[in-house]
Amino acid sequence: MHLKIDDVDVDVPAGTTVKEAAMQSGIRIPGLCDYSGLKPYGGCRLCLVEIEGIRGFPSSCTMPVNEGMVVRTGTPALLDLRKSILEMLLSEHPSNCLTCERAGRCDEAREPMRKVPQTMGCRYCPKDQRCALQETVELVGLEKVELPHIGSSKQVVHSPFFDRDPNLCILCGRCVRACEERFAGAISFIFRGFEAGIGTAFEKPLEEVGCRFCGACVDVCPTGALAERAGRWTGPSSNVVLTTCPFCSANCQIGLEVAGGKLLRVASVGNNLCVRGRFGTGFVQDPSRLKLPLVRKNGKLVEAGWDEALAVAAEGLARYTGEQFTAITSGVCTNEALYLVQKFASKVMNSVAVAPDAISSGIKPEDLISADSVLVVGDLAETNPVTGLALRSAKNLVVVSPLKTDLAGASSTWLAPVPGQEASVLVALNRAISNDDPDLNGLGVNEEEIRNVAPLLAGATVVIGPDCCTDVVVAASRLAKALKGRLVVLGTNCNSQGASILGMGRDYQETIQAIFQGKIKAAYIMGSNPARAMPELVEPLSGLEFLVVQDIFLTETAKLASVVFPAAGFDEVDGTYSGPGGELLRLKKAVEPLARSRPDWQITAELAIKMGAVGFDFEGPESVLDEMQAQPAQNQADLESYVLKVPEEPSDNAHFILTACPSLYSFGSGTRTSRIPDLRYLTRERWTEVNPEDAKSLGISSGDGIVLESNKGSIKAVSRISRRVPRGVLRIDLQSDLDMIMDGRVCNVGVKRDV
Amino acid sequence: MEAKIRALLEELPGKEGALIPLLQGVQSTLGYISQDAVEAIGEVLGISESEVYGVATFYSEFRLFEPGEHQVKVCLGTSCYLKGGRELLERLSRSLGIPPGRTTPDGRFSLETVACLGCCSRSPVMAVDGVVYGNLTPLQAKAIIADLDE
Ligand code: SF4
Ligand code: SF4
Ligand code: FES
Repeated sequence: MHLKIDDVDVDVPAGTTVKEAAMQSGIRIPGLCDYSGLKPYGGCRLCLVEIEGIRGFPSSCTMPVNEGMVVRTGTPALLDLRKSILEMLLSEHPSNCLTCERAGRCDEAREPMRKVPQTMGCRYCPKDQRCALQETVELVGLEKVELPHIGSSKQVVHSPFFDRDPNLCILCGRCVRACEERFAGAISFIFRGFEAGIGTAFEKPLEEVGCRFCGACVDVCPTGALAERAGRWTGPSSNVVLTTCPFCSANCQIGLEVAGGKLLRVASVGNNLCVRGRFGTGFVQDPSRLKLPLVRKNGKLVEAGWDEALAVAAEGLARYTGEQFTAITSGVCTNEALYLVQKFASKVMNSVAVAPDAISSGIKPEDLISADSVLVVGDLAETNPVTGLALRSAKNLVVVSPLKTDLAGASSTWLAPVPGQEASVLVALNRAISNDDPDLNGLGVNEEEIRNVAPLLAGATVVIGPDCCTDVVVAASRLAKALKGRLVVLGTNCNSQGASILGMGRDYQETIQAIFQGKIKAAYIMGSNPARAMPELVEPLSGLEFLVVQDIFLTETAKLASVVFPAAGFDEVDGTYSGPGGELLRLKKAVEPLARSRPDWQITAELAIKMGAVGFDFEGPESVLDEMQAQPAQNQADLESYVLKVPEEPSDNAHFILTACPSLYSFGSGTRTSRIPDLRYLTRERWTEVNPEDAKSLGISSGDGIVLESNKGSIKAVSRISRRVPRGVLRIDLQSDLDMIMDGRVCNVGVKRDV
Repeated sequence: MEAKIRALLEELPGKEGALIPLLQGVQSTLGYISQDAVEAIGEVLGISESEVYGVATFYSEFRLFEPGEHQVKVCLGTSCYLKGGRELLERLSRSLGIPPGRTTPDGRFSLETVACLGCCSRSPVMAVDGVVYGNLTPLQAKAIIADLDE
């Protein structure tokens, strides 16, 4: 469409707004409620323009372009109008500094002023120099606010990770729309008139109204009303380093805001993030990070220099080549680190390197998102939230899940089996497709449902979350084949795909068995914390004759080591992860390695060289990657020969089926996320989700202490009423100490109040 | 509660535009909109509880707290407002220790504002449990409440 804006000819596609069209041709129109990617709202009235043939001053952010439009954005009338609108807006917002003639030159007084509990002006505001109001005042050219100030002194609302100061809110509604965009709906405009604000139902804490702490609201807020507590007073960053999130296999790109060689906070780079990427990467700044190598002397780990530690490790390991040695790592590490540890294990130690999470087979993210028909097993909102969010838009979304997960709620068909029977549902679907009789005994899904959905699935992409057991993966792989569709097994970690490409999953089970049997005498563990993930391994690991651990923390596993190497954090190294489609994702160094820590790949190379090996002399991570890419492809774990287990029938002597599922707030075994205080806060109790009807008949309400009792034992927990669980099912966060009551992930329990 | 809401919804033409009628339905049976009701309406309509609450707090006709044993309504219609309704409200709010729209923690009193009680000639007025008191000073209003509290 063709139009004229301030005498400039502009061509834009239909559906563009006048404001966007102006922006594209370099004409800036102020505006505070509009935000790219959010539905236009037209609330702040700052973007008014004049359009020939249209009366009054329409808001350009809500006005779609029309062929031949003639638009003016800067007539004297408009400039005046904008000034008075902004002035009115500022009569309810602290404006002392905004229009202060010494603005920006009050440095001497700044620090003490920030101790004032209420933000009175920009120099007291966490968004100072990052605020859209400041920009707008300049753009509009407002010099004075003459209207009387209507001060409010509403209470600041503290939440995990960020605070809401209603006194700085301009009611632009960006946060509300951003939250809707995430399908959380946690916040809304509440009350009206002078009382009007943004809040939650009955002013409940965010975590009780469906907030997942994705931070989208904080990212879009133009003022200091919503500001994260991390890096609150550090001011703006000097640069933003684009890198890859070190948690799940959604591999989101994140921006690391850096100034003066320090990490300030994480910024979204315009994409969706989840709480872990947005607020959970601060573990790299935890004071308990390892700063120096440690060597065990007289039974105690003591600090040592690199030379000494490498020498002790080299000498110790040299005694155990072949089957007595193993290397354990995980998809938390970069390709470069994984490749070298594998090379070390095979070339220097004549053995193998394994990883617990090297089961991942993906397709390119864009292919996954554009798939029309998708079948999902697993709770992606907990494990891979951003992938889950993207899958909501699939035309035909079928979800197999005992719980009413986020995706189950958004699906076109939701098959809700009894917990533990997910694989059997996939088998039944497979049989229905080949016109066999689906055997549905005890599954909790009826034949009609299966028969109705089976024909819709031809060519579907079958997506298996990392929380699914091997049986589900195997059944899904067979189903995908029968459907002539694609199989996507989402990896647990950011680089599970890399570990999988290197074939590190093949010998994992046997290796763990060999450790239990005492056949392994020495190990090199890098970026993996088996002692935390599987407490039953503590004993066999302590029985090893020589153990070298490489990590950023003194983990449960590192505490058992003979030598500990301090590794650099994900923000301190250059390297790559492999994305689900095998594409390379960059990890960029934003700050220098902490103290004497070193990048993983480099430590392994140095250790190999110390042991006299050749072929470990690399100039940098790039040359490691080059060598890795020149290697022939590895065999993958074999799913074909696997025999499906027959799941146990839930016995009926207990009332409830307890299912343990991973939580968004505690990633993996929690080695990293447990170091983030607000993530710890969100997982502070052993919450057990109970269906409202069950809660009623048990006579319990949210927050009550309960006792769960199985054949194996009992634990104390706290109830939380939730519509996500069906009647007869209880959901609990997966934690390592659940082995007190259960062996797998599902068991029968009785529930009673803790008195 | 959810079952009740579903029953109410049955009588409506559909989910579209059902939010306000549902809130009205709840208010007329319960006398107010409870937390349970807000959650259940959200669940039934597939919207969030905060959104339901947002709409409920936008319209002054909805009450979001269980009414107290005694219900105090202060008129803020134009006439009462001009003749001191605001001062009445402030005084009562202070002596009961609750903002308008709430119920005292002991459940004895709830305080609300209304747009007009139809007795403009006697403004400012307030109604306590349906009885209208006119030509009030803030002190008189406080005394009436204090009497009830004996
Ligand atoms: S909190 Fe921020 S984003 Fe939300 S309405 Fe207020 S100013 Fe706008
Ligand atoms: S953090 Fe995310 S889910 Fe929570 S209120 Fe903000 S936008 Fe909504
Ligand atoms: S930006 Fe258009 S009305 Fe706010």
